[in-house]
Amino acid sequence: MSVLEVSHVSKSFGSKNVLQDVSLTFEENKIYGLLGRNGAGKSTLLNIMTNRIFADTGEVKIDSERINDNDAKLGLIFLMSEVNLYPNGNTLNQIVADTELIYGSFNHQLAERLAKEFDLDLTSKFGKLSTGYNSIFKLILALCVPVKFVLLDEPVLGLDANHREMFYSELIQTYTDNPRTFIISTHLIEEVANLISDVIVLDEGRIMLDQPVEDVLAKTHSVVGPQKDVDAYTKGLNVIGHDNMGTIRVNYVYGDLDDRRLPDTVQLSNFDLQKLFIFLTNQFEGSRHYEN
Amino acid sequence: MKTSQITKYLFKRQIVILGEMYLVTFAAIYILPLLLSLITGTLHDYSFVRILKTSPITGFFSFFMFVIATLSYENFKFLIQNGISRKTFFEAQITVYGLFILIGNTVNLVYNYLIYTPMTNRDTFNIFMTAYAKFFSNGIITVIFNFIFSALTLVIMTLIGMTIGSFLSLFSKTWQRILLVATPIIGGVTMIYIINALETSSLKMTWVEHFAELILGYHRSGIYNPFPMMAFMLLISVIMLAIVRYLFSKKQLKRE
Repeated sequence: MSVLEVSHVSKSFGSKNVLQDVSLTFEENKIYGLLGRNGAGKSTLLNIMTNRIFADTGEVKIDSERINDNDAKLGLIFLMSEVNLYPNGNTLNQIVADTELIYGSFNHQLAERLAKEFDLDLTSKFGKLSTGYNSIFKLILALCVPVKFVLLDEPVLGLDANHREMFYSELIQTYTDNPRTFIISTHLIEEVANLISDVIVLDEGRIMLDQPVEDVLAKTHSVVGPQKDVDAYTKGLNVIGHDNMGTIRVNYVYGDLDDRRLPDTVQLSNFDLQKLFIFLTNQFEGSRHYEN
Repeated sequence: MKTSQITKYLFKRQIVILGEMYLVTFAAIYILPLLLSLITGTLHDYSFVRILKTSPITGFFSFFMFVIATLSYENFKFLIQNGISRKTFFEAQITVYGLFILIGNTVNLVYNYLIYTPMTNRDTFNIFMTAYAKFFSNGIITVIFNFIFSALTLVIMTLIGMTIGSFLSLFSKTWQRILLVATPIIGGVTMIYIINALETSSLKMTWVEHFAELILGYHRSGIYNPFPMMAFMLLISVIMLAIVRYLFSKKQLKRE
């Protein structure tokens, strides 16, 4: 069972602290959602995890071994990102062949099937691909390399709705056929909410949330009713946001509810991950209580 | 370690460039003047032997090694994408350049001994043959040491290229431009200042002259000893190799 550990990682660019003492553990065969607003430090974290850039402090380990200058461990991780690191003049077939040479194997059957499904011509040159097909090709590589940790940074960038749907369905299929760890960094929270098992929220370089999605959603409560009753019921609870719809008030609570009695005029339900993310990262009063 | 796979990858990629360089060199030196002579109607002036005498054909390989050695960032990007450490990249790259030097140096010497010398009746085709060949009385030994000396020269050229390229790759494109413009200017001004200072100084660079004589293996008889120069080149190579290894270990993906 392989474990990817990030321990006390900090990183600054100039005077801007992009990551501050970040510690995380990624277990095998889980699908993590790495969420955060623009500039939260998601891409920097993924780049450090794959040794593309160096952390100022802290370290990244796989199975207790540092990844720095360690081919055996670096070869277990693959990061698909917006940045193009392939030679523009090479054909996609050449890149596949070189990737196979380096990793020692490659799932050609899956690659060919995916290329056909996405209508991608593997004889094209990498530099000639559109933004969408550039992402599709890199996704195909990510799904076909023999690694234990697949890191996807904005995987559906430039993909139309149909291709995004196809990708999510292929992701589930490949995960079922060959379970491994996926870490998906995205802004499209609604689209991945049903895929991910665990959610990590980064905000201003710090980990705000790191829990299984099920546990997180169990702690979300939208309290709906007349303002006076809703406010009275949620008094003392961790209210992270609210909405007003005429005379109706919705208070969004994150955390466990106590044994207080629910008034007849007030209704309780859960709210979704996207709403939770928005409230937590909007620096609404109370959101800072849930650093994890 | 995946050094053998990476060596294979880099060799496959860079040998194509080496082949292209030889083709372009051949076309530029022999074909182009011939075509120009045909076009301008001066074919009677075209002399193959004269082109051989005046063209620094073997020098092109040194220049090629220098240039290709400066270009390491593109390969770094692909390799770090595929989970290859900087240490493995360095080792594989050094192996590939070592192989290139063996190939290029062999091609150079075969060309010089078997084509250039018989056709031009000249044997002073490189530094070794100009300055050090007379040190040895045996022809085969001369060829062997010519090979070693020329290989060391190529190693130095390659390592200078790697040092410059790796150093520049640590900076953003803006800083690279600034460094490329500022360094020759600052270097030139400094050199002029030093030369002027030494000319007016009573020291007259005596120690520099003595040191240069020692390194160059100078002897009054005019027969230079190549061993001090070879030892010096070897020492410089080891130092530069250590610098390049350090610079490789600092490579990072740039924010572009």
